[in-house]
Amino acid sequence: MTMGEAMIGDDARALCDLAARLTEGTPFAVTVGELRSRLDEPLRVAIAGRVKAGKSTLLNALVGERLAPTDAGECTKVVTWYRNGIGYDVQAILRDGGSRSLPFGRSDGRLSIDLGDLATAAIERLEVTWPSKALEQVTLIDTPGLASLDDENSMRTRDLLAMGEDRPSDADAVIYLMRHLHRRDAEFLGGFLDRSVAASSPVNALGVLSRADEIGACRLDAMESARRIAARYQADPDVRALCTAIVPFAGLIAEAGLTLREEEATALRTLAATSAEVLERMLWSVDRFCEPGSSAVTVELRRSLLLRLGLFGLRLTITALQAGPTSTATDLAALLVASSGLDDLRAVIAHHFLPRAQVLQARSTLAGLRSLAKELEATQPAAAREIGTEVERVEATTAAFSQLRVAHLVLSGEVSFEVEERAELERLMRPGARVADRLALDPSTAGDALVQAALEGAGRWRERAASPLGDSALREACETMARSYEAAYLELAGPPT
Amino acid sequence: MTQGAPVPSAADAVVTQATALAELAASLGRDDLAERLQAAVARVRRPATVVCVVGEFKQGKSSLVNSILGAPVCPVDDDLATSVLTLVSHGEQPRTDVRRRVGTEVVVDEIAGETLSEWVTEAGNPANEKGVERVDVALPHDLLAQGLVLVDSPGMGSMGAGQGAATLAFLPWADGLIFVSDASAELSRPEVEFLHQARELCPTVVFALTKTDLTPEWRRIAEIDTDHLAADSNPMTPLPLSCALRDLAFAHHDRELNDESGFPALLGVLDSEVFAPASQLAADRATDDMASVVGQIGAALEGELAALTDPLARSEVAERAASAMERLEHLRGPGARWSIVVADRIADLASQVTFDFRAAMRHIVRDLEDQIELLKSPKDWEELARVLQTRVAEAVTAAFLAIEQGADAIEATIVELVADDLDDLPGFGGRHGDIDVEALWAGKALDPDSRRGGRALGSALTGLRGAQGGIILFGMMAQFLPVGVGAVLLAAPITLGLGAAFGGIQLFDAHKRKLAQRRQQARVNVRQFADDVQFEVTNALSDALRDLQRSFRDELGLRIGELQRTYADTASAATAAAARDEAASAQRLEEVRGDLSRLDALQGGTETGLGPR
Repeated sequence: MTMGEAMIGDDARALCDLAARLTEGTPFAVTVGELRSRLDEPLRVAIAGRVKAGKSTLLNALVGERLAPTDAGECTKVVTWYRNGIGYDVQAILRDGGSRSLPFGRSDGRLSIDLGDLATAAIERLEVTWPSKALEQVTLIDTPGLASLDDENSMRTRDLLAMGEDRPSDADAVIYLMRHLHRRDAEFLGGFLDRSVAASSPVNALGVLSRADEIGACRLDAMESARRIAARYQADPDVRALCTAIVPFAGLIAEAGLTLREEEATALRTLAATSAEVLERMLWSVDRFCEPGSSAVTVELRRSLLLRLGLFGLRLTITALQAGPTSTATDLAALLVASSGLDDLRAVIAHHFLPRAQVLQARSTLAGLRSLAKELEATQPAAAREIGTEVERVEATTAAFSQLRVAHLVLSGEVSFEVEERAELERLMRPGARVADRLALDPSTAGDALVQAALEGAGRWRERAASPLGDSALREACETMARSYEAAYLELAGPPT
Repeated sequence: MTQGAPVPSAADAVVTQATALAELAASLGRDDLAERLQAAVARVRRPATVVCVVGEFKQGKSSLVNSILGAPVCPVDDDLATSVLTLVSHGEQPRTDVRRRVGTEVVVDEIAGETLSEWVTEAGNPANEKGVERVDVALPHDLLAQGLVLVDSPGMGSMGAGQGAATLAFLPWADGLIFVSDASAELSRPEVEFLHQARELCPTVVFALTKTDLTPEWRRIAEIDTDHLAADSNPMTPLPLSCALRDLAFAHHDRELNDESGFPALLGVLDSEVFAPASQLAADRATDDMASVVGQIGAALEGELAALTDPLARSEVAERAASAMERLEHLRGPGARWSIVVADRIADLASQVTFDFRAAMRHIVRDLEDQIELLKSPKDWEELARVLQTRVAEAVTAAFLAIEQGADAIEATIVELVADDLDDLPGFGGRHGDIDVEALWAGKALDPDSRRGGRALGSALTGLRGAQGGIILFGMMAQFLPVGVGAVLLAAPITLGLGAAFGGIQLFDAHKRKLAQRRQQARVNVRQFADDVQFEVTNALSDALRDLQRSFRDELGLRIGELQRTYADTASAATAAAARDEAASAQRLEEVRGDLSRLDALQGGTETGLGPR
């Protein structure tokens, strides 16, 4: 982590403390308190996408438990937060500002929440507190699908992400699920990103090509197909302007792998022992798979296997069992998880979001303070001015922010860089990377050569920044590139003596 | 159905009668009339029907086309999506033609079928950079041989906006529409909205729920979709389909699998909802053709009969025939009233349609320029691009519809004028002696209410679908239209130029001066785009009008030619009667009476079989 990033959190905290002093005793104190505590919480990652893109399934796979309800029809109707905690608890935060504890239970591994007589329209959001290692670093937010037929649901997601509104988003980052990339997906991502530049950037959006097993018609090579498609999208400048990385992911397969039960493995083993010819025909279609009489496994059990694994999961596990009939439930679970793309997804989250968590959170906080300043203008103009000025000062002087801003300008296409230059930028500004990596040099490179490279980079970009041909945004980008090389140089040179 | 659909029985009767009448006409030496009837029979047997396959992107449209035909015609891939309109029709030899635009020229190249994906997919031809207007695939196939033309469309809602609008504009000219949505998710709002519009534009809409082999919960999705459509007051039931099972059924020759695939049901719907009405329409036209042929053969035979039975009448028959021929000759010439009227009316129509189109374009551009000033976010700008595209598509459609409407009116005037000119055209007595001039134009006899389509567009659409339009004079236009509008809408610059007009402009910059500059650039681009569209469409419109005028002349020329031959034959029969000896005359008389009674029998069949029209 660079020094700038270590400091940014402290800067934001100091700002919150200032705002807290200025708003003490006013109704705004609560808002400030929330902004302050947000900095010490895990990163808030919203999971968004069109209806039935597989958002809840992805959430369950990331947590490793079946917390979010999944169903063939549209089923997430309320924005739901899943956060880590010591005990188990479900709260409904109501529109009128109140909240209510809700009874919940688990059946068949699934979490079920009883809304009782609460109308979904009265609920602002649900907060599920669940002790989970996976939720220690991120708070996950499940959202209703966009372009849903039920307008109310779409609106909820738009509210959460503050799309098209001049207020900060509740989420620090977003994982956007798309099946094949669709105009509405692009629009949505664009909407998420085009709020004020300071608050938005392709750097906090990650694309997931979801239900990847279905893209390849559930064939055994479906995931390879999906990987190929994801790679193509990632190379597309229009898509890169919206999110930095796109990973293929078969949520159902991952979820099934993480929660596979011994009895399911036993049933799969029985199925795999069916004669090859009968089995081939059973796996032609979902209806054939469930036809009575074709297997000793009961129709109910087959149907539940089908719902859990999908045709791809069935084909995958049964093929594996035919080759190695001794495979255990653990083996099958590992195979499913490995095939699902979950590891890649986790790696990308770890790589893109977590190292930047401080900056992303600070950015949300700063955006919150800026809008607070605007609200204060009427009642406490002096305080509003002071907060506004401080926010601007922090934004302007923090290296991590300018890096993020330049990454945004370049990735969103506002400043055009050559492909190699863009790669250089991504490398140079990669949070938490070692100096040699940032300079694209071998880790064993001698200190002198590193210093040389850092100076060369700084000089090169300074020169480019001085060119009279560029506009102000390009100049800013070039200067930030140069400063980043200088920062690398300073790190190499050690603290000033 | 794949083995060839049975032609409906009413149409069968028409085919039998028309064939018999054609034989009679041929035996009397009237090859021209026989040909007319044979053409009518061919139309009944093979009614040209255009069925469009539409839906959002990656729902399995190309797979569906392939599975209907049981042949890998359209490229299918997990990734590659179709980006160009593909028309699949019957041909004795497989053949693939790519129509594309190079500058202002349209170039047609024959390509090898295997290389099709290089032209029609996003990967081979990203954003249609090769400027492909459409691809025509011909292949020998039973189903296509019945006259089916399948249209595989690019998915609506891929990143390049506006293709949805182009697809909608194409629909008024389609006989049927297969809307494709896969079973992996319920219908989205845009899909429900599209289906609503489509139902208003196209008489037969089938909702194909694909990929049922992969989706365990497809029945639930079907129920949910049914509910959504009912809630939208557009009740429809999805038809579950599996292309994978259909392909397996072909590979394993397995009838049960084929039934499971749902395709027999789809073909059944196409048969009863698309082919049967088209075939009925063609049968109605054939009936009118028969009436005209019966009238002419009857008049000639009555004339000869008169000359044979009454030697004194011979010269009168010859004189009458000669005077009729003279008048017909005039009618055929450039001085005929109808000819002048057609030229005038086409010119009027041209200036009216062009004027209206230009006015519409001007209006669109002005609105857009106003809105450019008000833009706040890039999303507004994209929205504006979509609005522009939709409104231009509407303007183009309206222009072509105006031509169609105008053509109807012109046709009615011509029929009236010609009927008036030929009002006292001499007959030869007897039951068949008088020629019903109005019956010459079969289309006139069609009841306009029976024509299909155009619900949303009021009376503007006169059922000019496929080649089955009620207007016989309009045969050529009918073929031109779907292609014309479709091609204009899908081709450069409407879809291609839009990228240039709307891409690459950042309207939202911190600097005011720069913002003004960019808005100015946006206005320039919009105007340039509008100019390009206007140029293209005006050319297409004048081509359409020229074709229209030519088809009027050709058709009328043919009909007058037939009449001339009828009178010429009668005149020579009268002369021949004078030259015969008594025995030969008696024999000829017997023959003519025989022919007349055969004609009566056929005509009786026509009347009892199909009722008076």
